[in-house]
Amino acid sequence: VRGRGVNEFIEQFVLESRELVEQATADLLALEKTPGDASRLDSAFRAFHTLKGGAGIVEFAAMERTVHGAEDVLSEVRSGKRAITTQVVGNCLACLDMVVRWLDGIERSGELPQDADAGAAAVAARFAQPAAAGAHGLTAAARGVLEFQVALVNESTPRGSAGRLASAGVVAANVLRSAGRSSDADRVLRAMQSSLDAGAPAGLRAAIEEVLGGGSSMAAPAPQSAFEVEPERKARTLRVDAARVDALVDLTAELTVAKNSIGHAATLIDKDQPHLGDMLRARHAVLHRLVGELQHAVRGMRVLPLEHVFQRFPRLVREMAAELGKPANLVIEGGDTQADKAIVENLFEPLVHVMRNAIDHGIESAATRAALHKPAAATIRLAASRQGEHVVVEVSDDGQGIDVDRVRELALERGLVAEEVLRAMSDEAVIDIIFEPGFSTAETVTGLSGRGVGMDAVRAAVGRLAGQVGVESRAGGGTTIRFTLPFSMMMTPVMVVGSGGQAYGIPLDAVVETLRIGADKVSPIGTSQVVVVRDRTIPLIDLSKALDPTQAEGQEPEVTLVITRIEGHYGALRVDRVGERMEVMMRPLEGILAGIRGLAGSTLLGDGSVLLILDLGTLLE
Amino acid sequence: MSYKILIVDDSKLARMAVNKSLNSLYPDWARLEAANAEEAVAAARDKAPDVALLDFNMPGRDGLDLAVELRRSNPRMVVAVVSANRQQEIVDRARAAGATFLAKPLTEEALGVFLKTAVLDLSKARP
Repeated sequence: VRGRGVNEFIEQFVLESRELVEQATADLLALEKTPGDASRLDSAFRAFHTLKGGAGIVEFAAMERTVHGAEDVLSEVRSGKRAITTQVVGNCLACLDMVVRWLDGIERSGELPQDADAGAAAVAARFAQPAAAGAHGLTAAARGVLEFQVALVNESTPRGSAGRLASAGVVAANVLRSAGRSSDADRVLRAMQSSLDAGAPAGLRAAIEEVLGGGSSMAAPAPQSAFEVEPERKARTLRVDAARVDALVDLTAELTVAKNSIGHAATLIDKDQPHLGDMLRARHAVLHRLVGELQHAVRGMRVLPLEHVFQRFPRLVREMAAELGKPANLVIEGGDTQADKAIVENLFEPLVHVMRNAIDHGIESAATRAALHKPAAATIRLAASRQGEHVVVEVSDDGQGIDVDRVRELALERGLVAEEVLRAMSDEAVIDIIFEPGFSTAETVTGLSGRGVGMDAVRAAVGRLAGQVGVESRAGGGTTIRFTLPFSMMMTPVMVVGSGGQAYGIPLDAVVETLRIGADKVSPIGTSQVVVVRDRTIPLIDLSKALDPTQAEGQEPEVTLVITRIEGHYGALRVDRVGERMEVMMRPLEGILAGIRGLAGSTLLGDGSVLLILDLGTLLE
Repeated sequence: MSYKILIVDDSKLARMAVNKSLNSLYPDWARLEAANAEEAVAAARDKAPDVALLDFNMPGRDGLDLAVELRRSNPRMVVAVVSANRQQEIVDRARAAGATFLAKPLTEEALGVFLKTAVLDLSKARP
């Protein structure tokens, strides 16, 4: 199939394989519940068989081999030579997971993966394992969880790292305990404590790695971790529907005509035409509309269905539920909802955190559920929907909800909120504290009521996608974590402000109002300043000083303020002047500007100058 | 002489691969496609293909059952069953149904040999 038209074949291969993976996953999960279901078995076998056939057609030998292994096992099950066990289902799902990763890679690069042999060998090794526990007495799933904890500990974010350490330590200990290795569990917990005391992850990491068998997970052929978080990668190519490109070409042609007609109108100035103004305005309106459509078409090129990221969760949830000893069923809804490619590709990691929290903390133990007359198996819902210009992704469980009183206690204990402030806070505002970096600590995760494990990391990850995270808790009825993400990463409405002779953009959705007030309304508190606006005391930041501390204090009798609200927190930004509003295409900062605190990105203005977009979240911290 | 061929496979990718081989082997043949046995029976009834390539492994009725039915309604149709499972049982059943067994993935070479034989048979039957 090499040569001309290869792309078409690869595209069809990816499309068909994804459908087959979905079919096979559903069949396998159903088979695990009802092992005698012959039609499900046939369907699963057929899906693997067709997957193998497709791999053969595109000459993807490693995948052909890998899928063939699973097909053989299912064939033995069909002929009665082998029973359908948890291990068989797990191995087949692992095989599908490998296939999904390859498909993702193919979609990113447009080519078959060059390095598929290692993954193929890892899956083959799983199938070759004897029917009991694997090497070192741990199941592959347990190893996967442990390896994920190592990865978690390795993440080098200084903020909230204590919570992450504690979470990783406790999860690792639980896994070991459920595998009957209490002394290892205790050792990991001790290492976690000393890591927390030292504020360094090395001790805990070493302890978990030791349990995993001394060597790091680099030692080949280590089984591919179930919960491995793939590094963020930027796609080099996009797979684009031909009709979308055609639409773009047509629009560009129209745009050119419209532009030419404006050029013509401009030449009429010389002839002193009286209707010139009207004409130019009308042409401008046409141009405006066409540009809008053009942008819409371009956006359409960058969307993917969310099932790309949802597809991996049936298996993840199955294994997390098994490890934590809490039976759970995953219900996926709205996988066909489309979102910007950048969002779809970066949603996996925060969703894993949320999912793990839901199973670890949201769901009650089997005994408690029985006492509450709840179904033994919990239900976790992963749902996506399009709401206007937003894409909403929700993870809901039917567990115990968040214990608000316990959150209040902990918030006070950790000194996150002053007592009088806490007393005045609504339950909703209190629950929001779980997203604070300092909230997740050892006690929180070892205690029963907390849910704060790594939620600060979730909020940060979603924030990077220009999204927001919300939580809804029903006491005794469950918890919903909601990501509200922009449909498109491309257009951001901003307000332009001037400060220190430089123009900046502020994301408009954070702006509450702009006002001028007397300088006497600003009062110093310690080294910072606050301003009282409509009976609300708001921290004030002088923008020019925040970005350049050498700037002198302004002495004007009146100051211009932009009042902002981010995740419920108000802030006041002192600027020199407030300018127009516009929609801009925000680009990440590059070169010398990258990494400057307080800047979110840049955009090119019509006159060729660069407008820097402020990151109010870090600026007002 | 140009003939009409029916390609039956639930995988569009597999049908695309057969089409590609046909483009170099017999570019002037008319092609019909079906994704399952029902569509295949309808196409055979309405369009009367001369040759049929049937995937063995399909949801619903499999390629062998379909071969029996197609040959019953049109004994002159030249039929092949394509499968990756090269089990003797399947090969025997294909032969019993009056169909040729072809191994999957179907190479252009193997398809060429089968179609050459098919052309011979068809020209004998329709002088």
